[in-house]
Amino acid sequence: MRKAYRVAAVAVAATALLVGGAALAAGSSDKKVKNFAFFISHQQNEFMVGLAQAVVDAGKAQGVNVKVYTGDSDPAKQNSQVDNAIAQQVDGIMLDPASFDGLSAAVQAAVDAKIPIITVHESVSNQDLAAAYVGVDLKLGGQREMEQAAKDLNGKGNIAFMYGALGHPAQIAITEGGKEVLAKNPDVKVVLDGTGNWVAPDALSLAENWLSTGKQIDAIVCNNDGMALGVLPALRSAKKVGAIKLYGLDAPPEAMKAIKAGEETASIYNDSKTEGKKAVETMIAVSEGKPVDKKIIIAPIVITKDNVDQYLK
Amino acid sequence: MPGAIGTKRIGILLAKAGILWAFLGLFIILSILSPAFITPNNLMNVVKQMSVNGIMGIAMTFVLILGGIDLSVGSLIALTSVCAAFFARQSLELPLIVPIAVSLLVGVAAGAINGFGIAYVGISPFIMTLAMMSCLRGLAQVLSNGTPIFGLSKQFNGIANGFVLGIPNLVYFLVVILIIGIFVLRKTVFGKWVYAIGGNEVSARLSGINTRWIKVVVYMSSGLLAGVCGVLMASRITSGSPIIGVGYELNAISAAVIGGVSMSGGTGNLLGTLVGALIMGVIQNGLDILGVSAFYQQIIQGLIIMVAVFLDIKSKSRI
Repeated sequence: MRKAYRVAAVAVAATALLVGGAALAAGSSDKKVKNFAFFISHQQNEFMVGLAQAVVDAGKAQGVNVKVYTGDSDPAKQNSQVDNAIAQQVDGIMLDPASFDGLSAAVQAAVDAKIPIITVHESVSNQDLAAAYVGVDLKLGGQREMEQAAKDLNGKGNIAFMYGALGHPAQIAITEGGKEVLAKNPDVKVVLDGTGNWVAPDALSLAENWLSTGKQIDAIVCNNDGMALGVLPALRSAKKVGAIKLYGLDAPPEAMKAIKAGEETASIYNDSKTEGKKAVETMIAVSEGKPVDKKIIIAPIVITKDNVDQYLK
Repeated sequence: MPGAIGTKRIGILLAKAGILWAFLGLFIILSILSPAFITPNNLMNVVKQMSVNGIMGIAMTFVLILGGIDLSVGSLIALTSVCAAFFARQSLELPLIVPIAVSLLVGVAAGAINGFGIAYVGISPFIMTLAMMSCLRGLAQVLSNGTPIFGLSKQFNGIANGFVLGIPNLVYFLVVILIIGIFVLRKTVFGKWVYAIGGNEVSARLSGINTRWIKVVVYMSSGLLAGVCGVLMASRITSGSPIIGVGYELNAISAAVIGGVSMSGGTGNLLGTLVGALIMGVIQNGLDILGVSAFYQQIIQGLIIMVAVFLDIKSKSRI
């Protein structure tokens, strides 16, 4: 009985290999259109979903095939995905790393296999090996966000600082930017801080608890709008909407609506469409051996009540 | 003398309830460390914040006593929050019963798939619910197109955010589900069957209990309660979101196990689970109120749970 199962398992595996191999052969016989692979660290929020879509759309517009692989925030998984793409001899790799240090092997492997590689949205520890970095500057975004908060507080006040998932590269970058601005504004004090893990339920509970402490809070500054929008119900319950200024980052449509309504004070818009378009343009240029800038930054835009109508679709 | 025996029995019960003493001790320590903790407003916050975990803990208690496990509940909560939010949008102007019914039906359906796979196809609960954890999360992402759904009706938002007689609605949901759960587990034959299957599945089956059907019902109930939590969570954060609920199954298991439910099945009770969920809620709330750095919170949470369960084990072994 057991032997029959083993034979069957081997037969299934062999068939799968043969079918897979045939599919690969069929796919790679099309030599005219370039095939690129975009490895995105995750698609767990609106921004990342938008970025993946923007890359695919830009690929279509530029006449190239782009296949998106989602890494579920797992560096090990991404390393495997990149290895598979190298084995399939793709024409170029666009990598949004799930970790700064954890993808250096993948980058090295691509360089060794002579496959052009650029990083998108986040950089890697061996960035000099990659042909270019295309992306938003999250640290700059964090700086702009805190600068707006400091400005709105006239350089003096109490801030509660809400972080994304601790240790996440985006959390580190945005928080670093915010802290640099705080260092320059000594009268703006962080009286409370904590993590909302990027999501609304955690942000809501944390904000409720902050409001319970009785401490004077003039502004709540969040690493992303997923959390800022989660803080809003707590402000509404405590009847502090507008009284406590609220800041987020990413500026999805719902956040822009909240800014227009005066419930949120400001956010940072990182244009994922432009980021995706520039990433594909740069990838094509690199794969054709053309010279490119090593660092292509998409500038963050501060969205307040004054300019939100321009961006709200 | 019945009076003296009655007092002795209560004494033994109280002594065995080590976890209850751990909770009370924690409560007193936090009250001393921070006056803000013990205000009525904050205590209501604690119960609001642990209510979803409490409800899922109740569901998980049934599943664990049965000898199973349900790893899919976190993803199911995300999926049902998306389903509920879709139909709760102000623009659709549908009666409140629609988003609630859809959410519950989706929950029950997912639970039925789990139950069928486990009881009739014979896939182990860990593997089946782990696979569903992935499928349901993916489905939530696909249905919502990766973005949260906002713009829900005021009525829907009021479900979780409202008050009756000065007590948050979430408390009523938790208490009612707890009472129903205790009634089923302790006062019905069905409850006895669940314990029997968890204690010794083979003898349960041989004594004529329809183990397969009962398993399906327990997993369907777990799915149903996840559907309830999907509605409550969507209402609380005024949006349906495909990314919430990550780790909720582990939190539910923690609440149950801290409360004395055995991971190998056959033992446990719902009041213990409630205390377990309260301990978890009080710790999180207390650490936030005390302004403990986020980096240390996880270490402290783990240590407190170790101490609480240690006290519980010690109290049980001395009797």
